[in-house]
Amino acid sequence: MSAASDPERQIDIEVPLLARVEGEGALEFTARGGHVEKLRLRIFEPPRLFEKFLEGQDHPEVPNIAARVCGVCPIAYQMTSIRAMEKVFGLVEDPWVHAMRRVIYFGEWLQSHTLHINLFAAPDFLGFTDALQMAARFPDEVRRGMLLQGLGNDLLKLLGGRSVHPIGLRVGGFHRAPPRHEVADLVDRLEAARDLVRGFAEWAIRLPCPEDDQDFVEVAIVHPEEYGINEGLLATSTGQMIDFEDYPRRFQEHQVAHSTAYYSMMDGSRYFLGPLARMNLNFLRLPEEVRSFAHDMGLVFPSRNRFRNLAARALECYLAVVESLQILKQYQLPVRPWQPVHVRAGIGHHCTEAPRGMIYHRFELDGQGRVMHATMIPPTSQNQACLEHDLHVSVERFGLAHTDDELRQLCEQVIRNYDPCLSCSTHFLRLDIHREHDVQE
Amino acid sequence: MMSRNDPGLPLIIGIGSARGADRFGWDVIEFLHDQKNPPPCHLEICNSPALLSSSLLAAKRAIIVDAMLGPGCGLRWLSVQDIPATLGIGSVHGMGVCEAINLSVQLGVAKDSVRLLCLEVPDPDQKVCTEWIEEAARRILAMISCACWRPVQDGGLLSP
Repeated sequence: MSAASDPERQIDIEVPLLARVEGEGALEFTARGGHVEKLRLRIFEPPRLFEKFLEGQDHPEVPNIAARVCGVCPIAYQMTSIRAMEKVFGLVEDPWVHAMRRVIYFGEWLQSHTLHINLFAAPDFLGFTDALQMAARFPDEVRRGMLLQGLGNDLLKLLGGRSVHPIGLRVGGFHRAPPRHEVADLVDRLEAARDLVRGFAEWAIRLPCPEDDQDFVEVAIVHPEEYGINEGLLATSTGQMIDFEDYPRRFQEHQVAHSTAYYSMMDGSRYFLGPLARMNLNFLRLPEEVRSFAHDMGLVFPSRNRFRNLAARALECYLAVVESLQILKQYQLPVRPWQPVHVRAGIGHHCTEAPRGMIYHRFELDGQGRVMHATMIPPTSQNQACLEHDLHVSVERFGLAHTDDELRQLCEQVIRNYDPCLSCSTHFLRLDIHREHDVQE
Repeated sequence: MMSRNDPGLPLIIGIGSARGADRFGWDVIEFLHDQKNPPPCHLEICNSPALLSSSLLAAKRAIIVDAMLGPGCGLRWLSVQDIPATLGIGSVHGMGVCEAINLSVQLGVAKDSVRLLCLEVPDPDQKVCTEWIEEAARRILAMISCACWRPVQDGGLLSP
């Protein structure tokens, strides 16, 4: 065994700045005498204060401000705040609005998931250093992913007006109902994309997937009639069903010294969010076409292998195309694309499923519909405790008898598998390795 | 008559964010969008280079409008040949504009079909002057009005 992979050596991998990520964080990994001493994802993104910015704002202003929280998943922030405020106003969602909200959410999922699979995760699974290198070998596959990504953008534009920080959403529904010809254009493109997305999903699912079953508790939205996204209850893999209103009672945040992002715990324990959690808890709610495809591909859900997150993302891309198509084929212009609201004071809670996991908002409004207090809890911070535990387990199973590069690569793959907002990147770690061998007698 | 949905129309895509000089790409697109007679092209904004490649793949010709750090202060035309394979600094998602353009070329986008119109600034917090936005729009309109896609000729830096 070479000294470079001696498991007894002192390993001190410090990544002071996770470069090329949305957000700022670092990986700290120290092992000594064959034991991991420290392995953590240190997030030092400065507080962004959006909850404070929202205080005093009139409710119609909230969606446009909320969109700025995240450039990658603005719909999740807009939609969750809108639904929380609609609950304050006692508004029951209209079926047309409900359907269109699913379509715009599918646009965000499709755009985000294809980007992640295509450019950030797949190179890990295939052993390429980055997407450019992978594209040289798999140009058709990468091109296909990009076409789907563009389709996701166009779904966002249809209802959001634009794909960057969309402006089409409002409390009560949408500012504008797309005219029939715009919808018809997209129906044609979705029809054409059906085979494309199936091929894309097949390719993603067939990527070499490490076997890494683990025991974990997962949380996702479930709904009796549809794949949980915007409405329903929070379900756990332990069989609990939780009303959105009970979120503050069941989920607690706390600070840790090494992260400016809060850690979230459910009843004091870590939990797992994201596509795999959704797929595990919603598989039977998939359209028959997607479910059959999953069976044909040999996929079994629930899965305890967290690297199946990639397969779950791929299936959700398929779902996004199939269900958007189904909804838009039956498109009817509404009398009005939004429902009037009757402003009143109160507190509203809501959760929706951002591409990378469940997001929770709480809004307290005064009698004029102005925000008194806002709470927005993103999926990344909810996943952080789980991610760090996953890092520990994965490194222990992999073993320390590997080079620093191999260990770093493993850690990157584990982190990217969560598609966290702070590290949705391919090979984002700038390494500063200090190697010092312990003298072992 | 040309349809605005015509896939043959050039794509003008402004990349950036709302902050400092980085907003230049968005400002130029907004300026073009607000013209009394909007130009015959597709206008897009983009907030992440990782999203750029899919737009370039769908376009026959494209002009990317962006801000870049440099010693000078003014506008510059660049061609794909002028940009390095990577600047190594990336962006959100680990992919910078250079990487995104090179990825697009690798996937079949013709090098000559892409132009970059950059605002070179020494300071990322540089305020974007109206003169730069108007001049950028003028140059873009001149470029897309040509029957053929002219070779890039660096017009030198334009001081505000």
